[in-house]
Amino acid sequence: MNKSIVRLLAFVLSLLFFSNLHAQNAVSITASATVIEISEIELVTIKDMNVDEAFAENGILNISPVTDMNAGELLVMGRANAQMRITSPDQTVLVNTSGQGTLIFHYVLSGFWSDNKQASEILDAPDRILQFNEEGKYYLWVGGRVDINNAHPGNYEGEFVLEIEYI
Amino acid sequence: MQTGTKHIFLLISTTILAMAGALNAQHISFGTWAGAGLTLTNGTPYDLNFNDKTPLIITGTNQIVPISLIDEEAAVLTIEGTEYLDVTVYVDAPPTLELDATNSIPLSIRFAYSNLGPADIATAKIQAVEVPAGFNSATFPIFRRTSGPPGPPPTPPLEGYTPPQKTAYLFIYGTLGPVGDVNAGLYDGTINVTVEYSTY
Repeated sequence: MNKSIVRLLAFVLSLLFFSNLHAQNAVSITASATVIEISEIELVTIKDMNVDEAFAENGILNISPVTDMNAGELLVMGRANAQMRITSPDQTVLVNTSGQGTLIFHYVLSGFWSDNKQASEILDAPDRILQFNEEGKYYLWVGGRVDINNAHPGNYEGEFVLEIEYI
Repeated sequence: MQTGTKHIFLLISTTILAMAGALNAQHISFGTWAGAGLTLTNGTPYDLNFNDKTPLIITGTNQIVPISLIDEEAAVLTIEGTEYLDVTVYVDAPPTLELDATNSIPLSIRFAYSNLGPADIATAKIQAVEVPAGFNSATFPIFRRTSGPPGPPPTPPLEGYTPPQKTAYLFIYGTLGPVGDVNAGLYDGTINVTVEYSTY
């Protein structure tokens, strides 16, 4: 009888011992995020505008900011839900970097509070009041029109300056 | 005649007890066998950095930053162990990332496992099984066969014998936000992942 008890105890102890032998492994992962405060307005280029003469019709290249895949895209970041006004030039001079000549590019701008080009609205009124979304973002698409009938061959480059101010 | 009946009753009782003992012994034996090697290691990416997905995370907004299973920012872990054994994975994640005691951002963590013996991480992601949101543990075989009959019984544990090993993958991902009206700074938290052979 005593031997049975001793065997039972040994059996239970061996169970405890073996349970500690179960292979187990653990690692830790750090999840992190650096959060910043934006009081100034930041402008991020998401996509450059692609001006390709192959898309010209009768020497006129027309890039719709709403429907054309060659339109450029910009992200404006600022204070959440804040109102703003965007001023942009109607036209700019493109300079031939590989030869003679210039081109006049007439800009067309569209904007929307989310990254949805098809839903964007043409921004043709200079005093139009716009609003950042609740994440402090506003999206712009840049297209335009240029006459290349009399253009010299070459690569043309120009600047596009946007002025954005809180209201 | 009465004496004979008592003997039969005792014999049945003994048989039942013996069977119960045998079942118990089978369970214990498996638990002991599960002591074979099992390793859990960090892969690449090592951690879960929400800025890798969205560089600008801005205070004072309702910004939400999701890292999904297919995103390259999802953290990767590898589990290496005996191919025909089951493992149980526990993922213990905090509900928020914290800057300090008064500034925190909601965090929701998900995980997925891939156990078809994938050749690389890209394949592992395609084959991965997502554990439903709200669960913090999952049990699965290290290596799941997709076809063919079951193989022969495994070789019993022998000294000097290493059972066949396989690698399964774990992916940790989730959603941060909405950020809300919190102070700017580095928010962090620790996710503890534990794996062990399953016992039944």
